[in-house]
Amino acid sequence: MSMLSALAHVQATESMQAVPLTAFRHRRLSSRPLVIIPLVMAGEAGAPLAAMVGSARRKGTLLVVAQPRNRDQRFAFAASLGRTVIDYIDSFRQGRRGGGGHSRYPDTPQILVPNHGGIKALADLGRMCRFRSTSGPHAVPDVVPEFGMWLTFLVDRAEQAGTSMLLPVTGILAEHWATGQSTLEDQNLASLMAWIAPPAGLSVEQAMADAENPDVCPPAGPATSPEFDNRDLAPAIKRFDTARTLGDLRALAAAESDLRELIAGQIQPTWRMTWEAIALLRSVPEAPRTIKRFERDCAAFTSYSDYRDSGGLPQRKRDTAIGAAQRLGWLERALAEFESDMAFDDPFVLADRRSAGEAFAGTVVEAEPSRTVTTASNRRVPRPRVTIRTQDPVRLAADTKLLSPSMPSGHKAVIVSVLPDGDATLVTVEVTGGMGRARVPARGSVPVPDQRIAYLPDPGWRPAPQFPGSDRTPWTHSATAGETGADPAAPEDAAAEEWGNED
Amino acid sequence: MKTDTDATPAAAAAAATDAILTDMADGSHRALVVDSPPGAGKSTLVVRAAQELTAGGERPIIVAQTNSQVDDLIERLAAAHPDTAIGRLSATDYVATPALGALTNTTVGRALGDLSGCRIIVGTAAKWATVRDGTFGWAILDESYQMRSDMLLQVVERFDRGLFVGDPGQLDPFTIVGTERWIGLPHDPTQNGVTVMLEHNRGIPVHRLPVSWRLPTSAAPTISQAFYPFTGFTAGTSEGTRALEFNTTAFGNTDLDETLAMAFATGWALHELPRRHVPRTDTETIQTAANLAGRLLDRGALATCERHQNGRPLGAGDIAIGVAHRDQADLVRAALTRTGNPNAPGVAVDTANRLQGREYEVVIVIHPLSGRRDATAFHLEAGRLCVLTSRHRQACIVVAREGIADLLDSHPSTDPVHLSVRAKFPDGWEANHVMLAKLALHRVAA
Repeated sequence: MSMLSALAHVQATESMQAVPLTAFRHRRLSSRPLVIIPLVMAGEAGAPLAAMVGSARRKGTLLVVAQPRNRDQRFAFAASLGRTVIDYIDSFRQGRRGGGGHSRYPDTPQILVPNHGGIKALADLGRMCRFRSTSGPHAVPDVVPEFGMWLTFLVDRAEQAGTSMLLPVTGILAEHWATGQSTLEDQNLASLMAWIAPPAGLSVEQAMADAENPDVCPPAGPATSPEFDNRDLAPAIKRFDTARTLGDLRALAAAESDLRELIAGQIQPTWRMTWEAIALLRSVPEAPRTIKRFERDCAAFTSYSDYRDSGGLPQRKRDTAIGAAQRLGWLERALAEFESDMAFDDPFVLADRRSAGEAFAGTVVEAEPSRTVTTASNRRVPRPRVTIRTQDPVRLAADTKLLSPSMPSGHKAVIVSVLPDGDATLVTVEVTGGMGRARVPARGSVPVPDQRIAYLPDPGWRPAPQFPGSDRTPWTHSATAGETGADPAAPEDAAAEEWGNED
Repeated sequence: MKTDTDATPAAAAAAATDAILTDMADGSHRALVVDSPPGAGKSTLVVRAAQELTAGGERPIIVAQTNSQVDDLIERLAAAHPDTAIGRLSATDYVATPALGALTNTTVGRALGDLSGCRIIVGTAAKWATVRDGTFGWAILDESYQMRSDMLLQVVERFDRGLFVGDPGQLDPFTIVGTERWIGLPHDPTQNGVTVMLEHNRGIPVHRLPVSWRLPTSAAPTISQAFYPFTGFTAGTSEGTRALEFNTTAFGNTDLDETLAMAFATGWALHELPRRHVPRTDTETIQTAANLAGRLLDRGALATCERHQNGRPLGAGDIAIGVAHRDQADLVRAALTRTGNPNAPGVAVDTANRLQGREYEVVIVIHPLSGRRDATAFHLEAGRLCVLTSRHRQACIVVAREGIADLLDSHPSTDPVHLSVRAKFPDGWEANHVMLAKLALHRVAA
């Protein structure tokens, strides 16, 4: 935690009120998000219990698995949830713009879940569904594997920083507001909302006490409260089982509606709170560069959509050596860019980076606007130098490439030297870009003395790392073929089951 | 003392090198791994292996991790083999250091085509990753434990066989991306290249260099026990070869002098400040570390070793201060200017990551756990403490607040255990305790 965010948390504790950490919301909020609140059953990994799904506060659909251990019921649940989600996704697959290979859909679906656990639950559901076969023994409806593949796509995409197709609401809230509680406690939607916007008539303390009481604020999932499990859920499931064993249809219907009611009581408070959080987040202005990242989401959505249309295979269970290396490269790149974008857009985030010495702001004390150099290709180009005096603890080395939110876009510079000057620091930078094509820099493209200016490091362009082709995994990353046949480094081969692993 | 049946350190080291070169010449292995403890002559081995390969008609390539490592290697190669043409594969904005520019048998090139006349080509892994064609018989991968598996994947097509040289006890490569996706996979891209290569190839010979030429007899057994518990090593010098002496006597009996005297006499000192929970930027700790360096320079010291048997005065460049965080390094640099000694700013101050592979006469360490309330995985990492406490040829002084042992006891490692992930040795928690137990014998309360 940096100094400024630590300070914000302290301030929140002292004033018993959430403190904004950022000036903007750095995540795009769709005008028509789909909220899913998944619940899972305790005791078995990835056994769905229920989900509430809908794209408007008043249009929530509750889906319940009466006996989560029963695989048929489980996949019937996956099919009905899948139909809703696929319908929602399909509604964005229209109005394609642009021609040729670059055409893309102008909007993307956005699924919001209450917390990080919700994403994990969807990941498990996606994994459970995407390999299922739609014919032969244990067949499932067509929509199930399709749903599984889309869920996996969304979960994979959500791992990448700055994307907005699948987001946890607590994550967006905690990115914008600092509270007086720990990071772990911030994952509890009810207590996070208690800090930010306590219900009318309640103080933050009262609202937090309510948030910690599972009878008043049931957990936002995916796990349900153990007390509820023992006291209400287990007997209700038992009644349902008994009725089914006896074949008593009336008792079965009664048991099923009992269960629905019980679960509705657990899930509806979270449903309402999630929509309240979304309304609250809408009131925060969106950061300008969000749109740039959204366009990348559109491109990713379009290309996966086309892949699905061409009958593409489900995603692998485990990444290959080359796939994993490639993915790590993308993830690191996306994170660096997202952090830079946030600091560029947002003075609060910039201040945070400045306090850590990763950016600086100050006043221009000296400028050499007419300096030129001759490049290797024998062309004279302007390379003005500017010295900035800053009080920030600059920790950037010479040759760091810089961006500036206080200059016209396209402005680029590089650090020449960083010298201490009493309590302050003198940073000399050379302007290298954004000055136009003429021999004399365009007006306003070079900082002038007494101007206040901020700089932050430019994550810059890097060529994408080149790996060997996916069919040519080199000897260092694959077991040499021909030894035993099976790859000893692929544990699932040893643990294959009749229904499970092979397809 | 060793019995007379034991080989001398020099003989043991020579035998290890011979075994490595024999395995290399044998050609039946795709790869060789050489584990090297701190200061065990890794670079010497790289130079020697390159020479053997060149003599055998090969055109080896050398992959290092940073530009300064490449420059160091080239200087050593050029000095050892003045007749061999050496190429340095560099990025477009690389400017040769003056020392490198003066070498006559070295060519700097931007692409392989520029270096067609060179017998040995050296470059950073990042630069080799941009080379798209050409395959060489052998590659020597220096500091390969610091090379991430995804980087290895980018350069592996450039060579048929690899000699992986590195120090397994130092800091592991890391990623800023928090993902659990690849945990337990044999080809986890966030692992180091050597681990991944060994996971996929059975029967790769793993050699180790048995002698540390850097660490003095006072330090080698402790470092070996704490950080290399299964593959020990010994010091290359014998007792009494290395010594530090003051040029002046101390006036007054300050705690700084007491600590310095302890370090000079025994090779270790723990300068223990009163127990207190403090932020890592604690002024007292930082100023104390700087003052120790300043006081050492004020009093002046004469270092005797196998290279300078009649002694050599210690300068600021022989001293380093090692810290865990970059902001601490900045504060120590500022504190050095306040010590009053005009040479003090010449003392090297850096984080563990940047001190890797470097060597000083005296190292002052700010203990990563000093004054902390909790022991996180970052601060417990064995590699970090190992790097910090194994850079010195003469003495190591640790500055810490009292209470680290209690802190360790109340924070046993709680890292989650994952399937298919081998337990990591040495364990950071245990290594920290071993070091503390040793330092307790050299404690000076401030």
